[in-house]
Amino acid sequence: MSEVKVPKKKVLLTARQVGIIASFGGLAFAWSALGIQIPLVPPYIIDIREPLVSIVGLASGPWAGLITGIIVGFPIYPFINLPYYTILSFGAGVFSKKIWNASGWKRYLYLLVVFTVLEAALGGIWGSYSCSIEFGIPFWDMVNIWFFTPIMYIYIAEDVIACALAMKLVPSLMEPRWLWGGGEAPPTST
Amino acid sequence: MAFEYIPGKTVFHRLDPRTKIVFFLTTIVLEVLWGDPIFLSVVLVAVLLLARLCGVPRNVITSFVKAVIFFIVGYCMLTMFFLKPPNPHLLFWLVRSEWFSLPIYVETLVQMLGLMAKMLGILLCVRLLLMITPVTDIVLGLVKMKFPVSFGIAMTTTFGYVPVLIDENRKIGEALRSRGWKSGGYNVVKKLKALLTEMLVPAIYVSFKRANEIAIALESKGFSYNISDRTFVKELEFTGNDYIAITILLATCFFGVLTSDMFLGYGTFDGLTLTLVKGLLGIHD
Amino acid sequence: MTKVGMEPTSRPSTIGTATLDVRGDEIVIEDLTYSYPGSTRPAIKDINLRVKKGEVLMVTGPSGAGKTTLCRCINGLIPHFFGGKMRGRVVTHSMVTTEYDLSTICFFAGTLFQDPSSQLVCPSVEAEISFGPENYGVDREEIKRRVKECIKVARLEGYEERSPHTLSGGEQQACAFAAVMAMQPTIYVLDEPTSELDPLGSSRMLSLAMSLAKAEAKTMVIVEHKMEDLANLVDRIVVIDKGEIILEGSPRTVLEEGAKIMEKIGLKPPQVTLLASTLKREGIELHTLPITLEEAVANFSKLLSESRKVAPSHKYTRAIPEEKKVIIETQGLWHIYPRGPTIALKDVDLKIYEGDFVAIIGQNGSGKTTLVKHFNGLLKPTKGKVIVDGIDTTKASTVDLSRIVGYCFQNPDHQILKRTVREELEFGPRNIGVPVEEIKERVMGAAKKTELEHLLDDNPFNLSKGERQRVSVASVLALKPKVLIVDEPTTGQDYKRSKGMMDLMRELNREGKTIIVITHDMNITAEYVERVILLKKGGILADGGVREIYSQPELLSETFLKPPQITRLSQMLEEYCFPKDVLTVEEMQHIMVNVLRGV
Repeated sequence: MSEVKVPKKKVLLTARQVGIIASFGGLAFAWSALGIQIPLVPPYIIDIREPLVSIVGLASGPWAGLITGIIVGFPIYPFINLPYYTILSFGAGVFSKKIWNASGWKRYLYLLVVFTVLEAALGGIWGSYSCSIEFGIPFWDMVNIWFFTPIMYIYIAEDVIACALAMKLVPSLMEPRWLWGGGEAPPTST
Repeated sequence: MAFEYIPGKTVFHRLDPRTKIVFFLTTIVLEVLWGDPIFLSVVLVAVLLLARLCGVPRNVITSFVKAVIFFIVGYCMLTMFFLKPPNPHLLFWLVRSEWFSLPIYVETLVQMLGLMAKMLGILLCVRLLLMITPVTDIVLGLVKMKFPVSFGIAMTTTFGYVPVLIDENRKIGEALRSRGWKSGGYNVVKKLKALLTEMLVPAIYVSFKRANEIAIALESKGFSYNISDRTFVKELEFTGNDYIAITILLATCFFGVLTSDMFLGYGTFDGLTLTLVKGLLGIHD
Repeated sequence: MTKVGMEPTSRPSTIGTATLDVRGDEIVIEDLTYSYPGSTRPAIKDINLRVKKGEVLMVTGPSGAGKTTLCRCINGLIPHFFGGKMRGRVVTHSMVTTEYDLSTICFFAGTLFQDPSSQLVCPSVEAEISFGPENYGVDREEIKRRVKECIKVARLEGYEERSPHTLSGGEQQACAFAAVMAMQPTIYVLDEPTSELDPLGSSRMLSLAMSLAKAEAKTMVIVEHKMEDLANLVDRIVVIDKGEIILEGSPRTVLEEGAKIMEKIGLKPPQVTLLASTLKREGIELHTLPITLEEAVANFSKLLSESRKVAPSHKYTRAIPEEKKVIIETQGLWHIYPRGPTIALKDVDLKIYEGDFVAIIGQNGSGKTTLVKHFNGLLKPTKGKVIVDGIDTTKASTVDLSRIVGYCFQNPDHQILKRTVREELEFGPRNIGVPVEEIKERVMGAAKKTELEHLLDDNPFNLSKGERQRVSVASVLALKPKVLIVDEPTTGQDYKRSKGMMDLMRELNREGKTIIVITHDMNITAEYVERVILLKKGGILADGGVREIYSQPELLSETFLKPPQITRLSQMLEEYCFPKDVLTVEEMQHIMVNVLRGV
């Protein structure tokens, strides 16, 4: 072949990232369809969407997290405010390299900190604000529910446990190789 | 919550997916801006009517409503504790005791009705959008509106895989039950533990394997060849019906903004319905 | 707007500084050795192989031999997707795979994978078939034309808007194949395309592939175990074992010279070939070694007519069944799935006796799985009754019934959920309330039976597929059920593993367990089971001894099933009075020797 024009590629997501999104994102839907969830106090339920979305963000970076949040969050709106999953997964992605590069107990500490901050901001601030706009419930009441009942802490726990499990069980999946410009760097393990 | 595209030949099915996205956004705008039960019920009825016109079977709608009504009512009952309308008028006491009282105000009831209509309306609208538009069309519409292409393909692949995963997870559930497993009863802690250890651990392994398989399948089909410039077989073209629909929807949006808190205020929580109810009950401020 | 500017208009023989001596061959593999990342042992070693343009090559070998690895090297997934250490080189369509982009190589080498559902990535059949060409920027009108043609060739008319995952296994694989066809590759790599399919789906897939190969002279590399179906259709066979090529040549050459080696490594040559080579060892030689049924009939007929011999009439006497206890009974069983609604089972009356070794056979959709799911309470009858060991299943839960009936699912990955094999085996007994002291004993017992003692502390997810299957069987055995249901134990497995699995079943049956196998593997059924229940469209078409059923090919053909090749051979030698119910090669050999030696 004298000249094979391999076109210049602008890749936002690699096939591997799409695979992770489809696999874990699809699982989130499948479990909801099969009714696998634990109701707490309606409308709050413990279901698997949140931990799975966090895992995707951590494994494949903020851009993949962004689209996963939209895919998983959109069909169950208004039970979940659309930016909630999106920002959760995006945020997990942004800090994924910092978390991954830490070793031993520091890694779990960073996980805990990141998800505490994310959940506090998303549920406590954004969630309360949007509820007050959309549903007329006073902002500070929502904030109180969020911070002074076990709800937020349960959500933090399930996110942290799920991500920690995933990092232990399938490290080759969870190694963050994403790039801000899109795509992924080649794996470090040969 | 399965997303089943119900094929049809109605005029609504044939609308451009971008028009349907505008319809969806319009409904969301109205739902966010309005709080008045009458206004929101109109939206709800409009969505229901549209669903029937599109050929969605009645039993599908009723079974969907049955599935979500518990959550909606639950959510609204919960908000009853927290709604604090300014200048409330007491209707009756639900609970009255030394330690705890729960008064029911006129305003709270009206607001709750509005909330229920709102939530049901949004849910039905989302469902309807997915029922009359195949996912590939939605993605195509989004891509035409400058959505990143790889995001679009991630969407179609995810939705494409859901039936497989539902099937697979059903089999996993059956395999567990065949080995005597009970799903933890009513104990939340036990259920949570079961969810995380017995369901999540295998799910992570299996999903990891599957993620690799999907990636291999995508690569073998040239996914990363030239993604930003790939062909899309389906061509999208606005027709006369699309322009009419979009005009109606934009006009509705405008009406929504006009009657919202920012201007006339009829559509808000303390809008039309409350005024009517107060009038009926003879309450004067 | 065709972006496909990759078609080579000329074939220069130099790329970069290396000189490629492809000599018109589509695939050239030179001194290839490859190890997966993190692995010390190479998956394939010193492979040298050339595939000509238009050639159909069959690659076969036991599980884990390196066949899939070879396919991945041809289409560029190795090294681009998998990484790892690669020595030597692979040239696909004149492109050295390490020097070209993965998607470029995949344009020329289209791949079909083993599991139909994992390679279908779009929500509709039409979208699936157009996905590949769309990615390569093929012109819109051209894509539409290709999609129409591929749908026609794959016989999927009417399914355009359906989700591919609602199709049957055979149709799914045909859809995946159509998706590959639409990209119009010059090389087709088919990695065990029929191993997960039933016989109908399998034959549909193979005839599709072969007709394409012949009609358009495409280069094809097929990885397969099913030599009986392919032996005469391919141009060349390559046998791989432990990562190295051990046999190579035309089908006749490989089967003639290599039958013994193939058996040794756990491969099964066509039954007629095996028969002929064992007869040869006894001094009875045919004119040519038959590799298909037709050849065998012709050769044996010639031999028999020359020697003017006929088989003595005999009939296998059916053992008179002793009075046995009924362990599972269905009375007027109907099952209707609400979706559709679909009638899955129609008025089924069935008695399974304690100690039976039963195979339930039929095409996909005949109701096999629906029927057995009633036996452990996973499904309850819509109408009628199911009684298991005296218990009406509508009055018992699956938890209770799991003490009596153990169910091994087809995919072991659906059953595995613990981090060590030991915990996995303990899971079942713990759930049904077995005392702690006894659990340990049961775990050891089950591990011993399935040869897993040395793996008890390993992570089941890191084991090989065969080992995982044994774990899933062991975890059900730990429940000590009276009845064991095994769903498709041999689908997707090579002969050695299938045999291992069935030998275990036979051993358990001899110890008194009732074994119910769901399968469409006719050869395995012939070798192991005593009783066959044939299902068709939710009803029992036949129920009897395996000889009784297999000697009626017309009955089997109603469900598109065929008796084993050796049975069919015997049936086609009817004029020489051969019995109609020969089940194994050994039996046939015995009869043939007796006939020809005049004993």
